[in-house]
Amino acid sequence: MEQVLLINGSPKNKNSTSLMLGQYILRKLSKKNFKTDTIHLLSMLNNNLDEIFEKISESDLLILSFPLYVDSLPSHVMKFFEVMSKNNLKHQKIMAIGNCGFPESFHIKTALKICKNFAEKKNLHWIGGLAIGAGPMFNGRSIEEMGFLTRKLIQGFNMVVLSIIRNEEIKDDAKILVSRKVIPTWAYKLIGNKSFKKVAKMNNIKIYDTPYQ
Amino acid sequence: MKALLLNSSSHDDLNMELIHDITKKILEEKNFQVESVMIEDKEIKECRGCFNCWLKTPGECIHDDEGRIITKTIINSDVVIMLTPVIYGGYSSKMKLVLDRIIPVLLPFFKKIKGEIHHKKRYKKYPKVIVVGMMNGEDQESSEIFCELIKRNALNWYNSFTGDTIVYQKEAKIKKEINELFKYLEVK
Ligand SMILES: Cc1cc2nc3c(=O)[nH]c(=O)nc-3n(C[C@H](O)[C@H](O)[C@H](O)COP(=O)(O)O)c2cc1C
Repeated sequence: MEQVLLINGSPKNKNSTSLMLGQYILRKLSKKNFKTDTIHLLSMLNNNLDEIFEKISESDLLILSFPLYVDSLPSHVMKFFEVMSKNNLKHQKIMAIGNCGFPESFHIKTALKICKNFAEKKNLHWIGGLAIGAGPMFNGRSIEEMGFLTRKLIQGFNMVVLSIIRNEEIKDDAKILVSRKVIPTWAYKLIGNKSFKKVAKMNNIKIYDTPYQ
Repeated sequence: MKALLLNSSSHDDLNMELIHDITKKILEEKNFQVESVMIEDKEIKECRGCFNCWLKTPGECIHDDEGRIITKTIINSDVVIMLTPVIYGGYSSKMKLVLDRIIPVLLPFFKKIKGEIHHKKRYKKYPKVIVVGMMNGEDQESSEIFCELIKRNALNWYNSFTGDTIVYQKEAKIKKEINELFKYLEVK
């Protein structure tokens, strides 16, 4: 039985879009007789490095799911790469899922290149990277709970699942489907800015404060 | 003029120490008041993605540690130099620790810049940032990704970022390459 390990690169652990997206794939795979497991990278890196190595060495496919931080990977994911660079890996398959706060998914391209570069230098088998925009919009909800907005996204993810089952690389068509805009930029900007103002009012804060200058 | 020199390599990285010393000297010759920070020596916790720095305590991170102090120093510097080993085309984890902690100097609000969404500024003035990515040998792939990353950072930080990778080599050559990067400071 093939083993799949989801490495959640979000420091938010349970409540993250990274986890939600990765678990969609895991749920589908476990129905097809894959054995699945999840680790929350930040807490594990600080406390339980050996367990990470153990789980990785037992796996046939690694799925690294991460939030985009300052155009690249969060610091602890870079630390994970640094730690792994000193270890021998078998020739596992690996894929990455990046999600970001801006509505456009292209912001994630560079981060996926870093993941691919890591995979290739460590002699892992890179099967592809997915880029998803407007991550905070999910706010803990699964892509199945968003109605018509996520039609294409789900279609793309199902194609990814199929490729994994067939032991193939992720198709370009699937990458394009998942990276399509879920809502238009103008609407995202409007809704986002409005909600920031609303929360600021609720929290009774000066959102434009300049404590350092 | 104040310059902050951030170094994310470790104390035993002698190549980076040389690059650091060369950079420091160039800055001093240009009459900068230089503060050097070895990130390794600082206690900085990882960003935990809570957005408190935008929506609860605007402009300040929830972690009360040296990350706050560095963020404050950054926003009050004229120039920030980041010396980082290039890790698979990205910043080293220690430099990234600092970068992930500086988002409170932006506002949460979205703004369209050249057709892309970015964040509005919180402060009037932002430092010029020069990134020096150090590599111990030629690696075109990593170098290209790193330069692309700096370009993306520049777009998100109001064109304040510039930089390049340098491969560790003879002192004179390093000096020349860093001087080349410093030309950026002369552009108004
Ligand atoms: C420190 C920090 C830096 C971020 N940088 C970016 C960025 O450069 N571009 C972007 O689109 N979103 C950025 N974001 C937003 C996150 O990528 C976004 O909120 C994402 O949905 C979080 O995913 P998660 O729930 O899996 O943690 C940043 C968030 C944080 C906390």
